[in-house]
Amino acid sequence: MDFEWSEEQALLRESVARFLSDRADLESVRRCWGDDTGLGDGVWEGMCELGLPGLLVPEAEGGTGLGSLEMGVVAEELGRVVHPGPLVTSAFVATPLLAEVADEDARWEWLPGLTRGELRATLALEAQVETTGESRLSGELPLLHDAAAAELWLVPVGSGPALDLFAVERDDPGVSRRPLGQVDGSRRLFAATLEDAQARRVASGSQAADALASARDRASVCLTADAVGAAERALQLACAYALEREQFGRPIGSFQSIQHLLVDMLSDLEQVRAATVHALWALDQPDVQERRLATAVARAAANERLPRLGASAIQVFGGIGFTWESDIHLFDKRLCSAASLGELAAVTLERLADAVLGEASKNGGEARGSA
Amino acid sequence: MDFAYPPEAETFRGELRAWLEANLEPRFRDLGQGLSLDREGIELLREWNRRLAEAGYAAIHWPEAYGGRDAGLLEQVVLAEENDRAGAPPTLNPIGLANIAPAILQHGREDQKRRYLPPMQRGDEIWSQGFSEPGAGSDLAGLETRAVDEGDCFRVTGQKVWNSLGEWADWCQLLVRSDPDKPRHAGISCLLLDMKLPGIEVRPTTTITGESEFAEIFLDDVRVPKDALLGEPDGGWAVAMTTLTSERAGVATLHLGVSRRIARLAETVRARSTPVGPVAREKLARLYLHGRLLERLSQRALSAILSGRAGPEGSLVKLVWSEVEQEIGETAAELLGREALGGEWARTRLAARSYSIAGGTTQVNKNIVAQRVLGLPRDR
Repeated sequence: MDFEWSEEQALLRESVARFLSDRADLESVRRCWGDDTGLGDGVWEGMCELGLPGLLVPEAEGGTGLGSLEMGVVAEELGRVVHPGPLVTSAFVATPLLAEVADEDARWEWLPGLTRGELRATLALEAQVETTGESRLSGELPLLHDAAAAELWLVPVGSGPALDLFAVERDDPGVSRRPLGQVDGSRRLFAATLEDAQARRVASGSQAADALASARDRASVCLTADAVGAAERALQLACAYALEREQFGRPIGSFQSIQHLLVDMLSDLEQVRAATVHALWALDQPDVQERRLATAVARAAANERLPRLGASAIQVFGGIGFTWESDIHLFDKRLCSAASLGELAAVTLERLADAVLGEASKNGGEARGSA
Repeated sequence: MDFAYPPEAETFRGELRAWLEANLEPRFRDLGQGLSLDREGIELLREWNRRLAEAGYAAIHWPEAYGGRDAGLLEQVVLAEENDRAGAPPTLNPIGLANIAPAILQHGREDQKRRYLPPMQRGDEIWSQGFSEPGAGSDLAGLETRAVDEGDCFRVTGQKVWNSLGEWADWCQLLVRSDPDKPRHAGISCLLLDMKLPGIEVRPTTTITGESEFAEIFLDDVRVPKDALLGEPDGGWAVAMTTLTSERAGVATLHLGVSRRIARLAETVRARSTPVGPVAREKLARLYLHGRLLERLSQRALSAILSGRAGPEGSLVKLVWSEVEQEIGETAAELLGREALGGEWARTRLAARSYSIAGGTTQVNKNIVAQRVLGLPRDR
């Protein structure tokens, strides 16, 4: 029973945290708030120097060959600065999927660039697309993270043994994208239309379906780990403000009503953190059912607890917390959007209902069937 | 990071599981839930307790010299898990073994350890704790039960409340005000009180569940021998702190009962209505989620202790546990209707009312976490 970060993981956290606080602080987040790519002034290049794009790529393929726990460490740190860039999308979701199942040609062509960060990819987590002729796709991609920053889009068509995973290029003439209207300017979310877009099949069949399911879970847990980092920082900012802000001749943090609100936030944070770290661990375990359940528990926890933590943080700040000038809303928005992305919160709860009532979950059944 | 238990703990689990399968007869199973027992129940529990003691499973965390196994925290957790799995009854001396014994081991004289620990382990003598008073609940250092040094004995007068097992207790770990002139924390002593001494009256306290798992103790000029002193004269606060902070395995095992009750509620609901409706499904899903979160938090608290990391989890486990226990009772009431007006679910709901009070109220715990973990100033 060891729930602790290793020394190496702590060192990784330290170096990423130092880099982010030097180069990607909240001022820089504000500078690129709501822009197309969130790449920032040299921030992406700095991440490449740290080797982050190849974190999950096996050493034999030129990457660092680390695992989901290390990925979680980085994601938490990104959340602490509400980082706007495409690292999670490209390095933690799309790249490892490609590394895991893509055919030899695709790997040879794209993996080195992705690993070095010269190229970026995104995975369409939702796709209403069909093949139109050989190597052509048409249809809608209702949600694509970082579609402007990523040159390469991975698009799944079909499911189970009939799944095909295609790669489409952002700049193909048959591809058009539009930003989704949403309030969290720290994320880049797009919808896209494919009209007879040139596509290349990179993987297919049950093995690809399993890898896709695992990539979805990884995306889900990343979102949660990022939110844990953001929530931790929001709580720290709220505590610092409660110590500094005086009313009635004393710091508001000396009032029990404020203290209990902050303790409730801490309790929510630590529960979500515990579930998230467990889910990060479970991602690399062979038991698929365990992985799916751990992912669902972490997601449901974040969905239920973190938007209310964000709201409480603003409550502690009072009126100033409702202004654009205060930083606390950046965190509230990040926590709320995390709960609205990935699997629908209601669907995650359905899966937990299946688990507690001991029924075979429909989604779990699919995962089992294709495992 | 590894959620598996080390091989030594698994070896211990295997031995214990085999022993429980061979020894836990049906008559012992699920005995004493809620500690509301009659004399017959007490004797049956005592018989079970002796079996445990003879096999060396009654107090595994104690030093070997006093009949324990010097077991670490993980083995204590394994023991709790296996007891839970097998449906084994609680020990007759939960507070004695987990809370009072560590104080005797740390602060007691050798003759006290030899005298009190073996019969406590076997359940031959039942122990209760005399801490709270009508005027000293959350503010324990405000206790007023007076002990006057008469040279050959202490003369003790006062009243204690909320004595678990008080009705059946042979001994009591009693906190008394030995010097009213010293600052509050510095004038308290701890006595190991023989409950058969003249001048002691025990009255059962009937709780809102209708049961009497607690008692009040009235002390009227009780002459307590001087050698009953545990620790230094006026050093009772240190003894009390050992007692109150020693149950480390407790935080790591609170989730076991919660998980069991949630599973049983889900089974009951499913047996009553098929298919289970959407609102009930959501209620059960959230309850299940909260049970799992408590489990994860407990595991992190355990891991923090094992690795020597100072973390906030341990302080939060009790708060979260009481919330989930209360949610179980409320959810049962919502999903089972009149069936939950009596019996097991009514008891669960009522008993849970005390979980945010006993062992430190939620409000005081939040003050402590705010100050010690979050570094906020004391209210004034």
